[in-house]
Amino acid sequence: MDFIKTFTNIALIGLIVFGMMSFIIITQSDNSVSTGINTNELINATYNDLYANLSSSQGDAQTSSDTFGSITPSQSFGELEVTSVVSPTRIFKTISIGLWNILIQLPIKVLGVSPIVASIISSIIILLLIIGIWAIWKGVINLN
Amino acid sequence: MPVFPDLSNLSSNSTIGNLFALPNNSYPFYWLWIMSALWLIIAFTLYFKEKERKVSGNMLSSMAVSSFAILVLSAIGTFGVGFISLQIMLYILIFNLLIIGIWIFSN
Repeated sequence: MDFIKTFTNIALIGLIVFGMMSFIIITQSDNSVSTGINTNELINATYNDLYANLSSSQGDAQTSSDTFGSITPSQSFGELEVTSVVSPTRIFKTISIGLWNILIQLPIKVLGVSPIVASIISSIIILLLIIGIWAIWKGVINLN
Repeated sequence: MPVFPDLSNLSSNSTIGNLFALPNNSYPFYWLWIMSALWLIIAFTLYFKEKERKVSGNMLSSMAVSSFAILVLSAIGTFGVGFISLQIMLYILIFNLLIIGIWIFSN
């Protein structure tokens, strides 16, 4: 699984979790429920963190776009200009890991998934991201 | 001998939600089992129907689609009709989101 796919999958999971939580919160507010699901501390924190992370991702993407746009093609022949790619990949790595850290708390705290299992999966994802980023920097992966 | 709630526990202005919520007093996980059974039935029905059509089926995608259905049903059951308790809804929510997450990662 490459960097782009890992990032897309994590972002998609984040969107689906946020969408399901929003659906539940809208359903409970439509029915005037007194004790809603957001009274649960974990759900409330996850919903707020997801909201903040997903809303900031557009700003982060804009920052990478600005960095990309400000690069002048002045490198000598034979040298690879990676500065414009380094900033976006770093930003997407931060978004992916941030989203993952928010989402993994749900199964750990509610279903009792062992933190060791979660940390192994986290380390695999982080390593996949790093190798994927390295591959993009080196031009191994064709982004088209 | 334990005393289980029966229809006499319902007041004259009870709703259908109060009737469905009666078993929760004696066994809190009653609706969790019902929802789990429904989840299995939907997942297996989808899987075998897909297998009939395409020879090979994808069990994980059938489970994920079933999870979406159960999540919506549970949300209505908890906040609309009111027969599923909040604690049980939390278990249903996280389990189903986990299945959906695994399915997205497997693609």
